[in-house]
Amino acid sequence: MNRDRLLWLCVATPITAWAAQLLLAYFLASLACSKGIALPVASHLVTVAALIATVGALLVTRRIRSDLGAGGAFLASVSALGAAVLLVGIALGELALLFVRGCA
Amino acid sequence: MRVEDRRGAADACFPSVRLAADAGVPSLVRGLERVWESAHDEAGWVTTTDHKKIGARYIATAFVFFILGGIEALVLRAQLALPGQALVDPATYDGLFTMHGTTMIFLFATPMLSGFGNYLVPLMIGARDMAFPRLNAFGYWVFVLAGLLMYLSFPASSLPQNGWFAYTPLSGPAYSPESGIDFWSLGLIFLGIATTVGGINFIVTIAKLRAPGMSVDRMPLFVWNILVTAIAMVFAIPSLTVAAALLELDRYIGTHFYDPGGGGNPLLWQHLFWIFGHPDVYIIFMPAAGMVSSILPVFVRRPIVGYPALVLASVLTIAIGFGVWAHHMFAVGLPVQALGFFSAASMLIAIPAGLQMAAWIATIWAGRALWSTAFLFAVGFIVLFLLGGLTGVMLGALPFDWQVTDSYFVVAHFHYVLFGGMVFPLFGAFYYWFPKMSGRLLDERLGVANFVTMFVGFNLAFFPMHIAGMLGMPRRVYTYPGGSALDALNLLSTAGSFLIAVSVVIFIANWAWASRRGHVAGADPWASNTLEWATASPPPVYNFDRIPMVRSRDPLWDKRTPRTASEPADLATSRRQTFGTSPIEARAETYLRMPMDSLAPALAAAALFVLFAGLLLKFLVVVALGAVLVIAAVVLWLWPTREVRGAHLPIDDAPRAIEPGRAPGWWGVALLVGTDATMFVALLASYFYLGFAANASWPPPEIERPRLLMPLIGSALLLGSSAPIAWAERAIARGDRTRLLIGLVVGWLMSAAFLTVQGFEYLQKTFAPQTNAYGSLFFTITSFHGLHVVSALVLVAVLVARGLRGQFSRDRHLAVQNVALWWHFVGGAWVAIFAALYLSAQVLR
Repeated sequence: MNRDRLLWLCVATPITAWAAQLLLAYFLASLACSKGIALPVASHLVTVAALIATVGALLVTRRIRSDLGAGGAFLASVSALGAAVLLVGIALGELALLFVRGCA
Repeated sequence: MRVEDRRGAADACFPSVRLAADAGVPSLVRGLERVWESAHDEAGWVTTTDHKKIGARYIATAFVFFILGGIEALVLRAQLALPGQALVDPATYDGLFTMHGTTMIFLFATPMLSGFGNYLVPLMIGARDMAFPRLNAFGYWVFVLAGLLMYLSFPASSLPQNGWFAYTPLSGPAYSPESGIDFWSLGLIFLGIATTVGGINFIVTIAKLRAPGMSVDRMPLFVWNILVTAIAMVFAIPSLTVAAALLELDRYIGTHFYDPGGGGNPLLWQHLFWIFGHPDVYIIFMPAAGMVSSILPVFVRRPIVGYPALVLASVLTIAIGFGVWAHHMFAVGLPVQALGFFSAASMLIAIPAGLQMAAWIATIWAGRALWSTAFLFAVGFIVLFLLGGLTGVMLGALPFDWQVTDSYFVVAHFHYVLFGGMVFPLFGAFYYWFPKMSGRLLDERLGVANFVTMFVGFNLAFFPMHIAGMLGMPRRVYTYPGGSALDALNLLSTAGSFLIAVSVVIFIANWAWASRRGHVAGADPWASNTLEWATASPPPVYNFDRIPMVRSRDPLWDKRTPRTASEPADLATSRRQTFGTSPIEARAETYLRMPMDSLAPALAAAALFVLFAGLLLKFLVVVALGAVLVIAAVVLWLWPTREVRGAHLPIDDAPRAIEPGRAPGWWGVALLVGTDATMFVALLASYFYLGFAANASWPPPEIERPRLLMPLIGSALLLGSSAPIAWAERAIARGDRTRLLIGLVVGWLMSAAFLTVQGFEYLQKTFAPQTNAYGSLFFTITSFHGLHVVSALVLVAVLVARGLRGQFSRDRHLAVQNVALWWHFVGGAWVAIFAALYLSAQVLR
C-alpha cells in the first residue's frame, strides 16, 4: 500500500475503533437489558480489539512519518496524538462497562 | 491606542510583507477584471457567483434572522419578567420559543459562519473563488427561500409549537394536527440541501484550491476549523433530513415510524435528531473557535501557541461529537449500563476543549496584548465558553443530568456554549474583518461600548438561569408562580436580555456609521499574518492578480521575499481560472477552469421552493411542477455553454482530462455519495432499530416474508448495468464515442428494467406503507432508492444527449466519470438494501 493511503488508514483507524467500541457496547448493553441477561463477554473483547487497532495505527503512524512530506508528517503527528487521546476514550468506555450496572 | 499606533507597534514586531504582485500590472488587472466581473445590472445581481458577494449576502441575511430571533427572545423574556403575566398566550409563547431556537440555530448561526467561510476561505487559501461557484450561489438562494418558507408560518398563523427539537409524539399528527410543524420540518429538509452543498463546496475548495505551498501544516486555523465543520455538516445533516422526512410521512400519508400503535417508536426521532443535533453544536462552535484562533495572534503579536494541538482539538472534537448524541437522552429511559459509555464519551470531549483553552491562554500569556474590540470579544469568549464547558461536563455526569434535565440550568448551559461560544467570536470577527470587507474601520469607542454592554447583559441574562434551574424552574413554561426566588432571577434575566439588545443596536449604529464615514482601512490595518490581508480592502473581484506562493504558516509575517506562483498571464486573463493543488502538500497540479455566472442556480432554488411549497400545501400538481422545474434547471445548469471568446469560454477550452482523484468535480460527487450513503445508513439503522425495539420477529408476524425471485432479477439488472457504464467510461477514455453511447444506452435500459421489476413487486405486496412500521420502512427505503435510480437515469440521458452532440472526447469526459461514480453508488446502495430488507428477513423471521 502506498504511503499516502497508509497514512489515511492510520488517521481513520483510531476514531473508527473508538466509535465501533461505543456503538457495539451500546448495542450489546441494550440487548442484554432487553433479554434480561448479563452483559456478554463480547463487549470486553470489542474493547481489546479497539485497543489493538488503535495502538497498531499509532505505531504505524510513527514508523511512516519520516517518509512523508511536511504536510503528511504533520498529519501523522496529529493522528498519533489523536490516537493517544482515543486510547483514553476506549479505556473510559471499558471502565463504564466494568463499573456501571443496571438497566432501569 | 489609535489604529495607526497599533499598526506601528505591530510593525515593530512583525514587519508585515506585501506580495510583490500587489502593485499589479495594469494590463493583467484589466484582463482579470474583464473576466471575473459580474454584470452590473439586476440580472448580474442574481447570477453572480462571486464568493465575496455571496458570503456578504449570507452574513447580511443571517444577521436579519439574528434580529428576528432576538426580537422573539425579547418577547419571551418580557413575558417572564414578572410572575403571572399575560403578555402572550401559552400557544404563542410556545410558537415563539420554537421559532427563536430554530432561527438562531438553523437560520442564524450556521449560515452566518458559512457566510464568513464563503467570504474568507478562498482569500485565506490564495484562491480566486470556491471550487463550485454556481453551487455556492445555489446554496445561498436555497437558504433564503428555506428561511422564507419557515417564516411564512407567521402570516399563516400556524407557528410550530414543539421546540427546536420537535420531539415526537408531540410533533406527530395526533398531537400537532396543525400545519405549523410542516413549515418547520419541510423548511429544515429544504435548508439541509443548502447546508450540505455548502459543506461539500468547502471541503473540495480547501482540499483542492489552496495556493501552491500551503500544505496542511500551513493552513490557517480558521480554514482548518471550516474544513472539519464542513465534514461534520456533510455527515450530520442526512440524519436530520431522514428524521424530518419520516415525520412528514407520518403526518401526510399515515406511516408509523414514530407511532407505537403501528410498531414505531418515538425514541427513533430522538436518536436521529441528536445524531445530527450534537455535532451541530460543534458545527456552530468550530468556525467561531477558528475566528478566535485568527484574532488572538494578531492582537498579541506572536504566532499562535500549539498549532498542532489546536488542529488536533478541532478534529477530535468533531469526531467525538458524533459519538455522544445519547447524552441528550439521559432521561428517556435508555439502559443505565449503555448510558455509561455516552457519559464517558462526553467527558472525553473535555480533553480537546482543554487543549484549545490552554493554547489560547498560552498565546495571550506569551504575547503583548493590544486591547482592541476584536481582542476583547475573543477574550470574552474564552471566559464564557470556559463556564459553558464546565457546566457541560457537569451535565455529562448522569446523576447530575437527571436532576436538572429540562430545567433552566440547561438553558443557561447551552446559551453559555452557543452565545458565549459563537456570538462573542462572531462580533470579534465583525470588528476584525469588517475593514477587509468594506475598506473601512469600525469605531473602537463604540466597539468597546458594544462589548461591555454585551458581556454584562449576557451574564445578567443567563447566569441567573443556572440558579433558577437548580431551584427547579422548568424550561418552556410561559409563566411561574410569584413569591419565590424565581421572581428576582427572572427579572434579572429579562433586564440582561434587553441590555444585549442595546448592545446589538450599538453595533448596528457603528456599522451604519463606519460604512460611510469610518477611517479608511487600507489593505492590512492590523498587520495580520494571513493571505486575505495581502490583497486590497475590499478585495478585487479576482482576489489576487497573481496567486501567492506560500512558504510558512504566517505568510505575511514571513520575512523572506514573498513569491507568487507561475501562471501564464494570457491564460489567466482569457478565462476564469485558479490553481488546482494536491490535498496534503498543496503541490500545483493544474489550472482549474472556473464557471461563468449563471441564472441556473437561482432557478434551481426557486424550482425547489415550488416543490416544497406544493408539499406544504399538499397540492400534488404543484409538487410535480416543481419536480419538472428542478430537473429542467439542473439540465440547464449542467449543459455547457458555447459563447463568443472573451465573455465565456468556448467548449474547446474545457479542462483536459485529469485523473479522477484530482478533479474537483469528482471530489464533489464522491462527497455527495458520502452524504447520500449516510442517509441510507440512517434509514437502514431505523429499520433494524424498530425491528430490535419490536422485540419480536422482523418482519412482524402479520407480514409475509419477502420473496426473493423478483428482487433477484431486479438486482441482477441493476448491478449488471454498472458493467456497460464502466465499459462506456473506458471507451471514451480511449476516444471511442460510439462505444460510449452504446454503453450508456444499454446501462440506461437495464436500470429502467430494474425500475419496472420493482414496480411489479410493489403490485404484488399484500401490505402498504400505512399497514405498520415495517411496511412504512420497506416502501420508504425502496422508493428512496428508486428515486436515486431515476436521478441516475436522468443524468445518463443528459450524457447521451451531450454525447450525440460530440461534446466528449478522450481529453474531455469528466462528466462521464462523475455520473459513472454516481451510477455505481446507486448499485452499491441496492446491495445493502437487498441484504437488509430481503436477506436479513429470511433470518430474523
